[in-house]
Amino acid sequence: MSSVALHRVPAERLSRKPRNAGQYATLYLFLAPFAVMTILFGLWPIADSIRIAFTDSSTALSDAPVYVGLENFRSVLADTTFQSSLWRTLLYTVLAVSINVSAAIGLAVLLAHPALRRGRTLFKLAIFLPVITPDVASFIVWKWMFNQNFGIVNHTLLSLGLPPFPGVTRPVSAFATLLIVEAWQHVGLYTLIFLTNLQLLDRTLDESAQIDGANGWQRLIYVTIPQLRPAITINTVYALIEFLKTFTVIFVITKGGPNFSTNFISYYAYTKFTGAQYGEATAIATILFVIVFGLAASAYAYLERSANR
Amino acid sequence: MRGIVRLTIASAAGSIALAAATFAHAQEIMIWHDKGDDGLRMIEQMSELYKKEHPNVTIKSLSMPTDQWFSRTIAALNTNTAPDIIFNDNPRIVQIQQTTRKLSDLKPQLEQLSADDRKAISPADLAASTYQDRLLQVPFQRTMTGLGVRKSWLAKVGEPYPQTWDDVLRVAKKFQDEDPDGNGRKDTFGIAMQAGDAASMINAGISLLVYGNGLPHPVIDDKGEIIIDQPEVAKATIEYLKLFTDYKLVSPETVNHTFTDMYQLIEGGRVGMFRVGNWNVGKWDKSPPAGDYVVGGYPTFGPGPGAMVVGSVRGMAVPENAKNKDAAKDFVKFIVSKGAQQISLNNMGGSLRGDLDTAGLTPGLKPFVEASKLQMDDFAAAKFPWYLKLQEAYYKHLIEAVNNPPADWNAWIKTTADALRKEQASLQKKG
Repeated sequence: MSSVALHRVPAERLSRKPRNAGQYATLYLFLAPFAVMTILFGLWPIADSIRIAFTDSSTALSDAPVYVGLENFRSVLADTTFQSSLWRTLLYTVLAVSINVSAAIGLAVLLAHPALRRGRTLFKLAIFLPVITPDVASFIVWKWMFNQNFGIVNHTLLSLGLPPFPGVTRPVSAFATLLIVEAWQHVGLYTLIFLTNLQLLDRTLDESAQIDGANGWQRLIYVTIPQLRPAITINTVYALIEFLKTFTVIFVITKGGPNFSTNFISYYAYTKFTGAQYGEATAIATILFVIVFGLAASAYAYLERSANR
Repeated sequence: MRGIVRLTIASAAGSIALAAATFAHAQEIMIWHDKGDDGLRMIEQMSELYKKEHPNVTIKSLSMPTDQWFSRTIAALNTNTAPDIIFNDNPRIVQIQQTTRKLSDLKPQLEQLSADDRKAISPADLAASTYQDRLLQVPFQRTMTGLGVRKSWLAKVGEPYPQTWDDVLRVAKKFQDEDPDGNGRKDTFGIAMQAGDAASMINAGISLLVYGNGLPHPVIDDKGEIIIDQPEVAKATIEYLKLFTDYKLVSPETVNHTFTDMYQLIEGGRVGMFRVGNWNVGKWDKSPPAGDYVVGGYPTFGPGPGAMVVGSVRGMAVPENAKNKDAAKDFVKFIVSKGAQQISLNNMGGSLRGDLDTAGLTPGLKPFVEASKLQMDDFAAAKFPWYLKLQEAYYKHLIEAVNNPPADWNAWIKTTADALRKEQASLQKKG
C-alpha cells in the first residue's frame, strides 16, 4: 500500500502549468531526434501498412494506388483459411502464455530456493542461454532433433522402448512441437524477471507466515505469488504480444504445415505478401495489430486492477 | 614555351571532350534475376561477347533469392526504379505482369530477329512467354526435368533404371529396405517429393507424373475445365498421394517440404529417386550427389520410357519504365544468337537452339540435350488469372487427403472434382 502512495502525484502538481516553457527547450532539443526517428521508423511504417490495407493489391505500391475501401478486410474475414488461422493463433497464444508464465514462476522459485547454493549460476545460465541464442540457428537444430529418421528425440524414445513422437509430420504433434520449442526459447527471459522480483520481495511476510504455521506450498500460493503480480502482469502482457506474432519458428520448422495446422496469422500474412497480395496481407497485419493491441491492453488493465484490489 | 602551354591545354581539352563523349554514350544495363552464381557468370560472359559489337554497353546483373526478387521487382516497377531487364522463368514473369502491368510488349524485337535466331524459338516457347497478347519476354532457355536415380544404389539392389510406375514402386521399396547406402541403418527413402505448398505439391509433384505420361494438365484442360476426375489424371493423382499414405515411400517430413528441404534430403544422400532439373546439374556434378545418378524420363503407367518435362521457359523482359529501355530491348535480341545460346547452355544447362556444340557438356547434362520425348507444361496461370487461387483450393484437399487418407480414393476424387468445379465457377465469376 505504501508503495502505491509513494508513486501517487499530488493533484495540484499535475494541474500546475510550467512557469517557463522555455526552461525545457534543451530537453526537447535532445529528445527531438529520437521523436523524429520514432515517427519515421516506428509510426510511419505502421500507418503506411494500414493505408495499403485499403488499396487494390495490383496498385498498392504504385504512384497512383486505387483505394478499395474495406474490400480487403471483407475478403480476408470471409476467407476460411484466415478464420481457422485466427482461432489457431489464439489457441496457441493461450497455451503458450500459460505454459511459459507458469513454468517461469516454477523455475524462478526453484532457482531462488536457499537449498540451491551450489550451481545456481550454472542453472541460471542454462535457462537463459536459449534467449540469447540466435533463433533461426536454434530452430534449425530443433527441426533436426525432431526429424523422424535421424532425430535424437525419436532415437531416445525408441531406445527407451517408447513409441516415436511424430514431430512436425502430424498436425497435433506439430502444434505441440512448436509449443515445446518456443517454451525452450522464451522461458528463460520470464524466469529471469520473476527471479529478480523474488529477490526483491519482503522476506518478513514469508517469515511471519512461517511463524503462523503456513507450510511451503501455502506460503508460495498466498504470500509469494501475490507479491509477484507486477512481474506476472509484465510477463503475461509481453508473452501475449510475443506469441500472437509467432512467425520465425513456423518459417524455419513447419512452413505452416502440415495441413495448415501451424499456419498462424503472421505466417499467413507473409504467404499473402509473397504472392504479391499486398492489400490482403496488410489487412491481415492490421487485424493482427488491433488484436495484439486490444488483448495486451485488456490483459494489462485486468492484471493491474486485480493487483490493486 | 607559350606554344607548348597552348598545345598542352588544347590536348587536355580534347581528351576531356573525348572522354565526355565516350562517357555520354556508355550505357550500363542492369539485369535482376534469382539464378545465383550460374546466372551471374552466364551474364558476365554474355556481356563480354556483346561488348565486341557494342563497346559502349556493359551488362551487369544482380542475383537475389526468389522471394526477394519478386518483392523488389514489383516495388521497383511500381515506383519507377525498375532495372533495365528482369530475367526469370515464364510463370514468374507473368506474375510480375499480372501485378504491375508494366512490362513491354517485345513482339517488335521478335520480328527483328534474324531468320536463324527466330527459328530457334518454338510456338510453345512463344505461347509460354505471351500473356494477354503481349510477348512479355524473349525466351532463351528451357528448363527441363527428369527422374534421377542413384547409380550406386541401383547396382546395390540389382535393378535397372526404372521406366514404369510399377518399376518405380518396386525399386523405391528396395531403396528403403535394403540399406543401399550400406551404413547399417534403415535411414533411406525411396523418392524425394515436396508437399509444403500448392506449387510444390501440384507443379513439382503431380504434374511430373501427369506430364511424364503425356497427359495434358494435372488440374484443368485448355478451356479451363476441371479434369482431375478424368481416369488417367485421377490415376496419376491417386498414385502420387499414395506415395505418402499407402506406399510410404517418401520421408514423413515431406508434408512440410519445399524445394530447399527436398534438396537437403537429396544432397544429404538419403533418397534414391529424385527430380533433376538441367539447372541442378552444374552443382550436382561437383558436389553430392556428385554425378552418382542416371537421369531419364518420368515413369509411365504403360510401357516406358516416359517423357522428360519442360518445366518452364526462361526469358528476359524489359519494364516499360526502365532507364535504358532501348538498349535493353537491343540486348534481349542478342540472347537468342548462337554465341549467347552456347554461353547459356554451358553455364546453366539450358538453351533453345539445336545447333550448339554439345561435345563439352558433362554426362549429367547430356540426357537433357539428347531427350527424345518431351512434354511441355502448359502454364495455366498465364491463361487463366484465377488459376493460382484454384490451385490453392485444390492443395487444401490434397494435403487433407495425405493427413486423413480417404477409404475410397475414387470417391474422394469425385467429391474433390465437384468442390473444385464450384470453386472455379465462383473464381471465374469474380474475374
